[in-house]
Amino acid sequence: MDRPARTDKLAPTKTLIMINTNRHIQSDLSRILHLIWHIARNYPILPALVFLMVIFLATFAPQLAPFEPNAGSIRTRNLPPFWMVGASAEHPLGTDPLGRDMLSRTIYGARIAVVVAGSVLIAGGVGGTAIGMLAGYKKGWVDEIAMRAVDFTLAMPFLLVALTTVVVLGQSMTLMIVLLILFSWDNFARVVRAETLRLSDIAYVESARISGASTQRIILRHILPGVFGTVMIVASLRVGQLILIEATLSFLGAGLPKSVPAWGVMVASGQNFLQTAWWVAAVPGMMIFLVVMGFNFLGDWLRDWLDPRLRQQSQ
Amino acid sequence: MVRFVALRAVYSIVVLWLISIFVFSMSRAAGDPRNLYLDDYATQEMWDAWGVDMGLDKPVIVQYSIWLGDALLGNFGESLLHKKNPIELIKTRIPATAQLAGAAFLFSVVVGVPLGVISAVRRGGIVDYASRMFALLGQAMPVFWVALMAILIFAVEFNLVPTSRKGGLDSFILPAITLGWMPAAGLLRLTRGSMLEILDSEFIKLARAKGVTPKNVIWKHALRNALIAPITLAAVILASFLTGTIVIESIFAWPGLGTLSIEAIKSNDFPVMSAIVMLFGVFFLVINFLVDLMYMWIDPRVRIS
Repeated sequence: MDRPARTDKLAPTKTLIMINTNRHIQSDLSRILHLIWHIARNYPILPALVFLMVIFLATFAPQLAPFEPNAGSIRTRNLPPFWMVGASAEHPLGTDPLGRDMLSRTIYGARIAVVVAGSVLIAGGVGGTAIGMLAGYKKGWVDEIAMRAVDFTLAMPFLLVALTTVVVLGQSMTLMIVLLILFSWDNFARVVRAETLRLSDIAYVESARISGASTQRIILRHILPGVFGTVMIVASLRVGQLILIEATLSFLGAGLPKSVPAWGVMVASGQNFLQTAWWVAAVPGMMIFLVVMGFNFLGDWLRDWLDPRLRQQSQ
Repeated sequence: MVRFVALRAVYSIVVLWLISIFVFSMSRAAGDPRNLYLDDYATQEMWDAWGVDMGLDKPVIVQYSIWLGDALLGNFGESLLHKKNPIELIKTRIPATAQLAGAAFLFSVVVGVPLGVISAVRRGGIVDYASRMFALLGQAMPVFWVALMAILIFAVEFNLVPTSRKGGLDSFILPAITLGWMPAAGLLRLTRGSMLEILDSEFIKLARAKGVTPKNVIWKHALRNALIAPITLAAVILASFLTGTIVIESIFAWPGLGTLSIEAIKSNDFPVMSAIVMLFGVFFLVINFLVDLMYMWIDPRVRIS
């Protein structure tokens, strides 16, 4: 009896490729979506662009902005953005009810966002990292105190504490930054402590200790380089949140003072003019959204790239 | 296990005590606390009487215990704006906030969990990308801006729903969705993540091999086990609504606690503000405590460590 010919249908290369890339892909549309997602997820093009744009706008705000951010004029009130009827070429993004140029204010807003988020991240990041390393390396009562402080920070209703403080002490940028620092160090401390605990069991730290290196030297030379990647991940995942909190507080009238052209303040100033000049609220909010999304992507990407283990934990 | 529960309870009380110290020191931070409790119409006699009542001539510790005793009895002074007891004011505002928070919670669970499941089961499908987009937007857009844009589009332009104020059921649509979007995004991502993990596990393969229908495998075998993390997040979401409603209520002129706090901030009404902070502190800690308990009940591993 003849052996039956092979009837395997496993021939066309097209299916093979599909199987290899992603067996769940069903239609053309979802294949395109998958490609876009894949690129966005694996190459930080969007976050890199957003990051560079924000830094660029913040650094060169005085050179880039066509007008003074707080200079208004009664004759240029409520001009619409360029795609609408009645727009003015001088004010591409329109003007607000006080006649101030939206483009210039939005550009200066980037500067405020960078200053606030940057100083909070640096202070909270350095402080939290130092506390986390000390707690993880020294263990014992240092660790106990540090971790209880983290617990308490987590348990405080931040928004209300911030609102009350502002009611009593008045609005200022310094107060805002201090408040945000007090509520962002804990994340760094917790993650860095866990990482330090892991590192201090590794042979090279052990041998440094045996050879008589001081605590300071061990922490700075042997542990810090080991936790640096983690700190960068936490920082980048935190930026978006910080910008959102700052904007929310400013929007509520409890963050930055009204005279500061911060995005949150600008959205608040447009709240009562939705029907006459919707772009006053829409444009700065769009910026917040773009920047936060960019930084969220950057954080996700950095996490996957530097430390895939964290992926599970933070989801 | 009893030790764990007791420890959490002690933590909560210590945190509450710290919050009370914070509020008290805030009342003393701006100089004479009478400036915060009395308005410009107070007479000299009232001014002096308050000084005696608050023990301003005595050491700070004594002042604090006087303040704490009053606070425990629910006496936070008189609202400068409403001329009423802050606790009474808060009581009248609780229902509106609770209803809004309930509606938003319902939205985030009803949208977040099923979409997360479908997204995990049909990984790489259209629904998956749409849900991921939904989550991405929810976690990056500022809530207050979403609310304003929603009003602009759905209330002003198309006139589908009321712009603000509490009325019939339709007045809940915009506030509940804008408040619930971000937590829905979090729930969606979490459900999707843990469903993907569970669907890959051995017992699911066994269930499939045994011939359990796909529908039962997904919604009974897998989802039950995948829900541990989302359930704890759901409780955290409820706690976050305490402050989340402040933003939404101020935009939609919702007659709840959030609007009350905003009014208090705008008019420097410290008595009301301090009462709200203490009360929210209690809510917040009770919910966190319950989350810990629930976590322990769901996941036995927590009990050991």
